[in-house]
Amino acid sequence: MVDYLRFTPELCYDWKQAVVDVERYYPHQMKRTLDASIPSQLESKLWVVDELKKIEDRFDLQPNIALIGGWFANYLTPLLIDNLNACKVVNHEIDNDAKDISYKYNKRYKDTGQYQCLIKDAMMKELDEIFDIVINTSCEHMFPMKRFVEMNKQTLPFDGEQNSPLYVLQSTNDDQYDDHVNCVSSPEELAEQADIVPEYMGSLTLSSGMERFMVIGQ
Amino acid sequence: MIENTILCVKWGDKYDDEYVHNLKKQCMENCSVPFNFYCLTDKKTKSYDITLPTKWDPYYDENRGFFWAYRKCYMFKLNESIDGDFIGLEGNKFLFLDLDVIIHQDLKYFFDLPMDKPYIVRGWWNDIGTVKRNFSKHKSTAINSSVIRWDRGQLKKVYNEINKNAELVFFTYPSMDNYINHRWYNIWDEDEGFFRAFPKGDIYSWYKGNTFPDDMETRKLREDHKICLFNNSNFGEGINDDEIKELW
Repeated sequence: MVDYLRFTPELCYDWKQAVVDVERYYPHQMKRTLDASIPSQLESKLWVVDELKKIEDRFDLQPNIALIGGWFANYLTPLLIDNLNACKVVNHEIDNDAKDISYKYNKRYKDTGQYQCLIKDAMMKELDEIFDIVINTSCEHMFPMKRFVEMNKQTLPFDGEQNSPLYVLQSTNDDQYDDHVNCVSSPEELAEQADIVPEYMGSLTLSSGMERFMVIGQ
Repeated sequence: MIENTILCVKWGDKYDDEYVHNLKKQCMENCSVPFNFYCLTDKKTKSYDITLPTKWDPYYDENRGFFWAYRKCYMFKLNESIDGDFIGLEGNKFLFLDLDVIIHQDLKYFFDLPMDKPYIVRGWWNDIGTVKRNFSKHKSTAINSSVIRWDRGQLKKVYNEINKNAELVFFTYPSMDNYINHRWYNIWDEDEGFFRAFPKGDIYSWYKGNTFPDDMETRKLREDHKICLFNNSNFGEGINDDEIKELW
């Protein structure tokens, strides 16, 4: 079971430097970096990796992984690299500050090419490369994923069949926040919204009290 | 043909005809170059009225997009050639004005701007830190679409994106200003966006102030500026009619 994050000296150094740099250069983002660091953020990302770990044989030994709206990617990037041996994690963000700050949290992986952040509205245009796994842990913040799934279907060269990456999607029924524009009432509804065939569906009540749903499928 | 064209847009009942008459009157008193004047509207009654298209109506959800002044975006369609939706609309240099503005100075200034890029209002009264912090939450928008200046065909790209992705655009962005802020402006590098901002000192807000943080006094006329806006996100448009009518 994946229930912890490896707190290595390298991670410690990057995170310390991230805090120093946010305070100095991005003081307006201080609260948001704290929001991204709370226990429930870690719980929901551990859940992703724990469930993916159970079906490791379903994807490449060193998968290329796309994050959609991955924010600072402070927890998910090290979890994916340490536990799933991810070859590369590419975060697709619309927020330039999130990009810069994510590079601070993940400097050690940026330097080795294992972490990249692109400024891209992934709902407007298809991804630039093929990924084994696409993770979106913030579906409640955006348009239903069906559009993205349709746009990113890959046509395989040898038989012309359509293929798609393995999707890992999270959302919630917590509609008290203005920016939760697309809440769902169940994991079934999340799968339906994305038009994917679910291999895993689950619910988890986080320590913050928020109920989250997760679907893994293609 | 007269090149300079001033446009306004009016639909529904929030603003009465008096607003259009007054805007036209203000333009005549404050524009030293010849200009065409048109009102794009859902109720054509005057010679200067041109009927607005309706094709995006099915995508508009009043409950979630109350501030989505999407009908304004039809004017971005104005192409290099005569358009079927806007027959009779002449001119190549467009200046859009919201109905609730006060014009202080000669509008010739806007028609003389270098047009390598179109222009839009950058709300200089916004704290840029707040704008950046709330960017991904689709709040605290730096852009205001009360005044837009473009040459014919220059905004076709914007129209095409909305037209192609209407359902996504109207769902994702809570207002037209927020959409433009996200897709067609760059708050991190303001010289790099598709739109250029009208410079500080041109346009200010009656309800929000002028420039953050030094000149934020509200409800103050600044006649050395060109235009005063009456934008206010705290209450519905048209509700504070009396304040602007007193200033006309």
